[in-house]
Amino acid sequence: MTDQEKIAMLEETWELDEGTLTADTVLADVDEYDSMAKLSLIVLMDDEFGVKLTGDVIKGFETVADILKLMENA
Amino acid sequence: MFTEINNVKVIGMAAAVSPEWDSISDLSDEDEATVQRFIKKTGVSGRYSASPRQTTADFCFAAAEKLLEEKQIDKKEIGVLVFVTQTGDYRLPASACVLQYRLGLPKECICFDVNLGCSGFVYGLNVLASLLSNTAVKYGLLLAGDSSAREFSTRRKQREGHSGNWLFGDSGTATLMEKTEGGRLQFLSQTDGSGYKAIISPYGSWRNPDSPDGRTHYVVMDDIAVFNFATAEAPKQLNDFMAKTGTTPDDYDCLVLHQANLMIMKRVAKKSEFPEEKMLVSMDRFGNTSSSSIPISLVDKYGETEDDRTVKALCCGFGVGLSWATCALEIAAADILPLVHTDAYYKDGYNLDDQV
Amino acid sequence: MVFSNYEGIRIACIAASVPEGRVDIAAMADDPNEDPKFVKSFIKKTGIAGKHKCGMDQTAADFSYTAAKQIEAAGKYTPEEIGVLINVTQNPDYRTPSTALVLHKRLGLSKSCLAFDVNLGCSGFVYGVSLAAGMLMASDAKKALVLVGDTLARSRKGLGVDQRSSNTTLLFGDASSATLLEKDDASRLTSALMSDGTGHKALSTPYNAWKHPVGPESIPSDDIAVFNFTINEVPALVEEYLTKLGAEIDGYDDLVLHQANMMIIKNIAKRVGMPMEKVPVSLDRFGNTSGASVPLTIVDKYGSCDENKEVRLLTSGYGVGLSWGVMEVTINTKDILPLTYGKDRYDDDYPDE
Repeated sequence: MTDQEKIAMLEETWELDEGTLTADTVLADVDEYDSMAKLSLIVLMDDEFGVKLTGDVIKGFETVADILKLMENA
Repeated sequence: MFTEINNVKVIGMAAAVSPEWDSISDLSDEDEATVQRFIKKTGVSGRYSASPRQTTADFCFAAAEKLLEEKQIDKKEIGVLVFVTQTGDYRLPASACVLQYRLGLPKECICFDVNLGCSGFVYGLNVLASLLSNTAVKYGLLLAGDSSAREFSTRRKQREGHSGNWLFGDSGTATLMEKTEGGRLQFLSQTDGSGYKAIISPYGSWRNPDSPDGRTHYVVMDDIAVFNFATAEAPKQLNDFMAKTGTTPDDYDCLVLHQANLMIMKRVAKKSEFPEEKMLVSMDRFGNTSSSSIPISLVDKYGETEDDRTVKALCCGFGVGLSWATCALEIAAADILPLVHTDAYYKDGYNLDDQV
Repeated sequence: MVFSNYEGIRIACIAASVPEGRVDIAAMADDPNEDPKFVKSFIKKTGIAGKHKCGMDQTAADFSYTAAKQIEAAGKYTPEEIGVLINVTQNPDYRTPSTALVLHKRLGLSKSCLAFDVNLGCSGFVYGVSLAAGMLMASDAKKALVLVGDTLARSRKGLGVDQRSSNTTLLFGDASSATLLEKDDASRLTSALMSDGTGHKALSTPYNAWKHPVGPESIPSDDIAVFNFTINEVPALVEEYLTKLGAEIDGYDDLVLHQANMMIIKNIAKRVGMPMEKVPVSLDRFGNTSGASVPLTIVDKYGSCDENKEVRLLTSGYGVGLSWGVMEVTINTKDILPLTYGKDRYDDDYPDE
C-alpha cells in the first residue's frame, strides 16, 4: 500500500476532504483529530492491519507520518 | 467466573427518569457544528437529568413503587433489597436502608449498597439471585442506577472537553426477582483491577480527600483504555458465555449492552456476531445511564408492548473497575413496565438550605 | 429474620490488622485544657482506654491488604483461587470505582473473579461473609476473600479537647480484617440478617455524598435510639437464630459482639444469658472498630493461641443502617492468625495540588 493510499484511508476515516493531509501534517493542528477520531483510528488499525493501538502509542503520534509507519500488516 | 443459580426468575422491571428531556443543543454553549459532531460521534442526542434535589434513590424509589403496585406484591414478602450505585445519598448508612424505610419493607429484609457502575446491573442480579437461593425469601428487589449528570451540568461551564456532562444521563431502575421452581440464571463475571484508573473519581474520599481545584464529585475517564478494554473483553465474554451455555445469537431476541457509546456497542455486537438490528440502543435519548442502562434499554424497547411474548435478552455490562459480566435474561414483555417520570425527592430534613 | 444456609462453605482463615499509631485515652488527662473528670468518666462508661489511629497517609484498604497478604503468606490461598472479593467499608479509597478493584490489583487476583464494595458498618462482617458464601457456592470458584475495615478514627484533627469535632470521635478505632472462605463438603455456614431503615438517622453521615454534596463531615448520633435498638433487637435475633439451629447459648465457647461500648456489650450478653467470662472484649484497647470489630476481637483472643483446638463462636454485628446479623463461626485456632500492625501504604500517583 502506498503512503498516498494510507493517507486517503485516514482522510476517509476522519471525514476530511481529499488532500487535507500530508505525511508531514502535525496532528495537533488538525481540529478533527479529537478523542473520537482516535477511537476511529484504533478501529481502522485493528480491522485493516491487525495492529492494536494503546493510549501510550497514540500519545506518541506527532505527525501523520508516525501513523503511516504503523500501517503495515502485523 | 461462571455462576449458575436455579429456581430464581426475573418477574418485573421498571425505570424512572425526570420529566424533562434536554437535547445536547439545549445543554451546550458550543457552536452548532461542534454539537452535531458530538451527536454523530457518540450517538447521544440528549438525555434526562435529575432535578436539583433528586438523587438516584428517588428514581429507584419511583420505579420500585410502580413495579410493586403493578405486580401487586405483598411487601412483607420482600426479603432482599440491593441498591447498586456509585451515587448513594449518604456516606453512611447505605441508601438501601433508607429505601427500605421509604418503601415500607419489613425488618426481615437484607439491605445494602453495592458500589458498581456499568457492570452493576448484571452483578446486581447475581447478588440478588444468590441471596434469594440460600434463604426462604420469596422476592428480592434490585435497585440500580446513577445520577451524576445533575452535578456535571451545574458545573458544566467549568468543564473542559465534550464528554461527561453531555454523555451521562440520570435514572434509577427496579428489577423484581422471585424464587420459583423452574427459573434459572447464569452469569459470567470478570474483573481487572489493574484498570481501576480507567474510570475513576480520584478525590473526595479517603485516599485523596483534597483535590487540586476543590472539586470532588467528578469522574475522570481514559477513553482509549476503556474503548480497547470494552471492544476486546466484552465480545470475548459474550462468546465464552454462549459457548458455555450452548447458545448462539439466534437464541436471543436482543443483545442488550451497557450503553457506553455507539462505536463501542457496534463493535462489540459485530465481534459477537450479533446482527445490529438485534442490538438495543437507548443511549441516543438517554445517554450513558451507568448501571441503569441495560434495564432502561429493555424498558425503552418493551415497556409499551401489549403482547404476551417472552423476551430472551443477552445482557452484558462492562466498564468501571474494570468490571464486566454477562447474563441471559428471560422476561415476559408484559412484566417490563412503561417508563416512569418523576420529579419527587425524599425530604430527609438534612438539607442545609432548608434549615435556616 | 432472614435465615441463610450455605452448604459446603467454611471459614478457613481470619486475620486482622491495625495501625501502628496508638492513642492512650487516660494520657489525655495530661492536657491542661482537658477535664480529667471527663476522661475518667469516659473510660469508665465506654470501657475504651485506648485505640489505634492511622495517619492521613493510610486508608482502610491498606490494612485490609496487610491482613489478606498475611493469609496468603500463611499458605491459605493463591491469588488464582480467589473467585469472590467483597470489600465492606464506609471509608473507601474513592467514590468510584469500588476499592475492591484497587485491592484486586494489589493482591494480584485473576480476571476470573468478581469484586465490589458493600457499604455497611458494624454489621459488615456477618453480612459480608454471608454474601460471599452465597456467591461462592453458586460459582465455579474455589475460594472467597471478605475484607472488612474502616478508618473512623482517622482525622486531620487531633483528639485534644479544642480540636476534636465531638466526643463521639473518641469512641472509634481504625482496623481492618480479612476472612477466607472456601468450599468444603463437610461444612456449612448459616446466618440471620435483619435491617431497619426507619432508624437510618440514628447513625448517619448524610453530607458529602450525592444527596447533600456539601456539609459537615459528621453529625451527632442518636445514642439513645442506638442503645434501645441494640439491647432489644440483638438478643431477640440471637434467640431466633439459636432456635432455628436447635442450639443453646452455652454450647458456644465465646459470644463475640460488635464492640460498640461496654454497656451495650454487657446488656446484650446478659439478655442472651452468656456470662461475661465468655464474652471477649477488644474495645478497651482498640475502641469501636466498626465492621472489623468482630473479626478483630476473634484475632485478639485467639490469634496468638498456641493450642490447636476447634472453637465454636457465636458472633453478632449491629449498628448503622440500622442493620444487624448473627452468625456462628466454627474454626480451628490455628486458622486465626496473629494481629499485625499494618505498615502497608499505597501511592496512587494522584497529586494533591
